[in-house]
Amino acid sequence: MKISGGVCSVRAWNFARVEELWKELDPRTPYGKDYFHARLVYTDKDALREIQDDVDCFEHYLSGRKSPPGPDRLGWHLSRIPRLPFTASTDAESLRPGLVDLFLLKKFIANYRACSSLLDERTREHFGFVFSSEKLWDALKLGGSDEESFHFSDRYDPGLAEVRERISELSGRMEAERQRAFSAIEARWGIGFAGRDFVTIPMERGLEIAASSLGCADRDEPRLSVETCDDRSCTVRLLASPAMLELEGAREAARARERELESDIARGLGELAADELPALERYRKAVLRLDLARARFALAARYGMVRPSLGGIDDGLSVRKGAYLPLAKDCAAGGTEYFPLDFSLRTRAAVIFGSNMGGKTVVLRSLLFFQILAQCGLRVPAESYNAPVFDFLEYVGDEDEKYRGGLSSFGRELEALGKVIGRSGSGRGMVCFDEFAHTTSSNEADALLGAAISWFAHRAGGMAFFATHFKGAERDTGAALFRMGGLDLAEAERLLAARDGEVGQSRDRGLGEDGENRGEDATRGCVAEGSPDAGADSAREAFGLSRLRLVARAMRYVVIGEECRARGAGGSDALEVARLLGLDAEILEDARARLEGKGRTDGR
Amino acid sequence: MLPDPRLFAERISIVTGLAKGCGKTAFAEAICLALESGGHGYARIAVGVDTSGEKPTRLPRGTVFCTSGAFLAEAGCMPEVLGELPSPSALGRLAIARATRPGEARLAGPERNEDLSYIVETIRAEGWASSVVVDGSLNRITQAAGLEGVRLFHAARAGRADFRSVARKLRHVRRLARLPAGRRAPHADTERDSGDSSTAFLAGPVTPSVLDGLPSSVSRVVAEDFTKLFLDEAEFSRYSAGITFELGKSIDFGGFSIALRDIDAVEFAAELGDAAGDVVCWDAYR
Repeated sequence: MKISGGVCSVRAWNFARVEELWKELDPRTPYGKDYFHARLVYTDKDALREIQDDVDCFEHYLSGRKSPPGPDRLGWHLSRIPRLPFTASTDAESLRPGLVDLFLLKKFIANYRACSSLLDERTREHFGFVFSSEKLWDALKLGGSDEESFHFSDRYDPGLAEVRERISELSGRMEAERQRAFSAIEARWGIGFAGRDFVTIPMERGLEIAASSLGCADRDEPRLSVETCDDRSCTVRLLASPAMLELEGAREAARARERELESDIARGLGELAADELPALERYRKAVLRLDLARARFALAARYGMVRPSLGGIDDGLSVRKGAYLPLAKDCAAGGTEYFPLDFSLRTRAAVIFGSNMGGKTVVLRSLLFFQILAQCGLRVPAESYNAPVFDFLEYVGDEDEKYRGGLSSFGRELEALGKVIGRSGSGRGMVCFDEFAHTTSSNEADALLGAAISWFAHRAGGMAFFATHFKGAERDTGAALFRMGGLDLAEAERLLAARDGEVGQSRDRGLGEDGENRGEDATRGCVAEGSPDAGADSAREAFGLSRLRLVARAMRYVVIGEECRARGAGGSDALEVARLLGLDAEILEDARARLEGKGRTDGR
Repeated sequence: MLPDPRLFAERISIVTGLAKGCGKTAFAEAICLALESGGHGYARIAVGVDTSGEKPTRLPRGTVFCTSGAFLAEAGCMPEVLGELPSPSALGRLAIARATRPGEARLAGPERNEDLSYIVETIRAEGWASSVVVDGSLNRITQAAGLEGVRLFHAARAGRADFRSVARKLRHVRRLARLPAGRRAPHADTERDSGDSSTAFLAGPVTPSVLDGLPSSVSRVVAEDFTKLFLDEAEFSRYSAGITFELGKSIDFGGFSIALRDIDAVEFAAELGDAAGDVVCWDAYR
């Protein structure tokens, strides 16, 4: 996968699952598709503003239409725009277009003009749809049966019409000569060619024809060549008569003249096109802008996305009701609720604490997702999104083995940290650290993490986001502290009790309890019995979910900020989560004792 | 004798063959002549460069064809360019053109199945031709699978030395083409039906190694279509002892075109048995 611009790493793109939304972007022109494959991430705020202005303009254009445009005519014309055969850097002096080049040029202009005609004045002006190549267009229109086809028409040159008439006349005479010959052969030998160049006939007939040809003195009689095909058949082919050869020679001469004239026409059209190269480049740019604005708007409309407000680094980063679409889709598919993200940061570093399963990583993914979209010139799925424009976007954390290149996780993390620090010397980055240093000893990890956070809070010019369990981040790092809402223990207990109660009832009915699939089958069985009881339905729904999903359901996926520093980051719910997930009670008890400093000494 | 044009009119016909010199291009030519004699316009597409002979292909006025930009410049049929293949091919830029007068052109077509589908679908969708004749690649019947509503023809040449083995291969093709079809996988991207462990829905090529990797509980294999069954006659017979083969999608099999050397049609037909009924053309040049 290619991500252009050197701004966003593949790691960050993949961590944020941007590709899942990106592939829904649907540009129609070859230039738009180039952009799609390039995955260009911008750092130029002005360029991003212009892109968003394009989308605004397109939205305004659509809203200003009195009636819906019906089938997407604009999209249809954009999809028919081919890649121009010349670029702005083409040497105008040596421009010698062929038939296909001229076809592409004509088809491009035809559809460019059609797009332009569908736009209102304001939109045309905004995107730069100004056509000024009438002379070229008028010349191209002479060739082809419609606006999207091209051939060297007789209308370009009266001489061409003459020579073609000659070719047509010669071809007609040749065809008549051929038909006369075929008729004579059929009459004499009973062989029908039916348009074929040769036919196979039985060996004895072939020998007969060959023998008769030896003594043939009749100049007008068509001559046949006979060759052995196998031991029982021959191949028979019509030989050209002297008259036919004469006609063919004359036609070849006419064809050569025709090619000369066509070449002259191509040269003339090439000169016209060369004069228009700067204009063609303008058309190409206008088409690309319109295509991308249309595609970006369509995506934004599909998901209710908003224009991001891109400010300075000191304006901070904030999102209101941000929808991390890849997860929102997962939740919808799994029948679970998705909680949009509210988050605001004015300092240079943020640390997010929280329970296991509490959603810390999702916050990082979400923020990176929104920022990448914003810097790709897309709208952001949120009620509002305010952020600076970063020089680079990076993720540091666990990666697939294929990206680690054989290094240990810790080694890879440190390498990535070093690179980020190096890059921060010359640019402002947005860096997301997920459970940094979690693979090393806790004391050292704590210290290392605290130092890294402090560096990013005070020394780096960008913003860094850390999701962690380690408390080192709490101490004088200068970072803003956040924590996830965490486990609602009472709700978790209630959901699990409802599930366990349903398991018991099912066991009484002999439906079984050993495994999730059987549980789901049992649930379907209950539904089939048609109980109208809403409470029972709820219980059955709960029964169908695994304990894991029920615990997840009891999590409060909100980011708590302001009071976090006053209260401390708060503890993890790891042991409670482990208990709810059914961890062995003895291990759990031992873990609690160790946590309280009363570790067991029996060696178990 | 030319085949019946009604077999090819208003549809996509693709001709594949068993081996070089099997008469594939000759049969494609015979189809075109049959369509022409029946008054049907058509599009003619070759896969790769037409190397069947030194002479360019003769095209009646109105015929739609595919070729490279370089060949267009030499074409004698006064070609009008109608479309282009968006992605460049190994042969350079490929164009779809129409002969605006009777004449000749060298044909060149896409090698990749998806490009072939694009060209054929464009020709049909734009209304440039409703009958399309594709001179396909040897041993690449998978080309047919990518074309919606295609009718597949198979060309073969048989001589005294090999007519028994050729007949066996043709009987095998016929047997695969006639497997029961229509069983759908539970989900489009599911390779195996998790709900029924005895049935395996296999996406992509079905080869001996794929079959050997199936659990022993599998007694029915559903391939996407018969072009995905990469099993020769012996392999198919061996696996059929324990597995019932079916197809997800049926591909219309049009029949065989047979070119004979040193053997007559009666003797070869006897060797073909029931498959002789599927022969639509005994030597397109006889």
